[in-house]
Amino acid sequence: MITISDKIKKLPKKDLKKWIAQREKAAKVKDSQDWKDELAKLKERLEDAKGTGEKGKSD
Amino acid sequence: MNACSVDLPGGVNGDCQLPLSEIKNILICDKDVSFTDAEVKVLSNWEAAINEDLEIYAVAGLVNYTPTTDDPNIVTNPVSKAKTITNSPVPSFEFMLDSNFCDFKSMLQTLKGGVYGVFFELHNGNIQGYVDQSGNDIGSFKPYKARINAYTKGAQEIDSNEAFKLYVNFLNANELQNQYYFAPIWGVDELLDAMPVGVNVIKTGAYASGDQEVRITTRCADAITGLVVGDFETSSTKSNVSTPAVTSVSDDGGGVYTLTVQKDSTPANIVDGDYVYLRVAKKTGDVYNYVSNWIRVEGVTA
Repeated sequence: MITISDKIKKLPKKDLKKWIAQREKAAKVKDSQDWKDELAKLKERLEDAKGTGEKGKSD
Repeated sequence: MNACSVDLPGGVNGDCQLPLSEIKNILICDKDVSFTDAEVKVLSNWEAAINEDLEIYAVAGLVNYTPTTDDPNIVTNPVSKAKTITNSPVPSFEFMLDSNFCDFKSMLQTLKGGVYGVFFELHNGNIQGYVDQSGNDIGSFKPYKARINAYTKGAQEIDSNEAFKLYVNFLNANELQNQYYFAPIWGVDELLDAMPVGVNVIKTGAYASGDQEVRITTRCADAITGLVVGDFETSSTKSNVSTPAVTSVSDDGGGVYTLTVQKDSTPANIVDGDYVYLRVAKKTGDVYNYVSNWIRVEGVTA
């Protein structure tokens, strides 16, 4: 089981993206499906945030 | 007191000729532990000092002990032949602990001659310390200040059970003159019950790409599983980086965990020259249930 700290979950979008990219380079992450799933969840958050932001802009 | 004082000991309590009770156990404390007259009676204040503030360590028990205090130096005046005492040795003790190597290992790592506080639990159930009679803390019940060294020869001697030794050397003789026996209405064993479970953490490999693998067990016993990221604590004072943090934890089973150890407010991997101190600190509210030794994770550029 993988747990990620609230500090990471609350990072601004740009910093979270950077953190995910850094994690993806780690050997442990490359070899772990659990890690891939967790990072995918974080990426979904990024996508959600992006969607809301773009809508706001076009409005 | 002036050695030439004309004051004599005042009063006598003929109904109270009790022998000094033997020491049953010791409580090792932060040297600044202090209870006001109102606070000292309340068990929860002692428990909080043990499992919330982590400033009192209730030792599991004693096997034996020896007071090693020197006898005073007695000089005979060569002319008058009258004897004079020329010093007042400060008390010192050698305690043999009822322990195991896993617990004692942590004591060896911690008690290296620094200054701590010591309360004695006596066989009659009293706690012995002293009551401050000067300065800003008048009336407060405090532990004796002592330098404490843990020591072991590394193996048990034949037909013995005294392998785990603690040398306790008092610093101030005057504290003994203000000694005070506090008779709690609760049993001192309850303080032992309040102790968090001791946990061992060892690094099983080098830090790489943000990750540090560790193995976590209760001392000399089973693997601990199910720890999450909030169960780890970093020390910003012991570490040499800003905002040290465990940012993720992977429970790999069998007590093996992969910790992502990072620095800075925008978390980044630590690098050569960086180090982060961390430990297991599993809490319920403010109460520590499990607490481990500190480990030092050192950064490498990978």
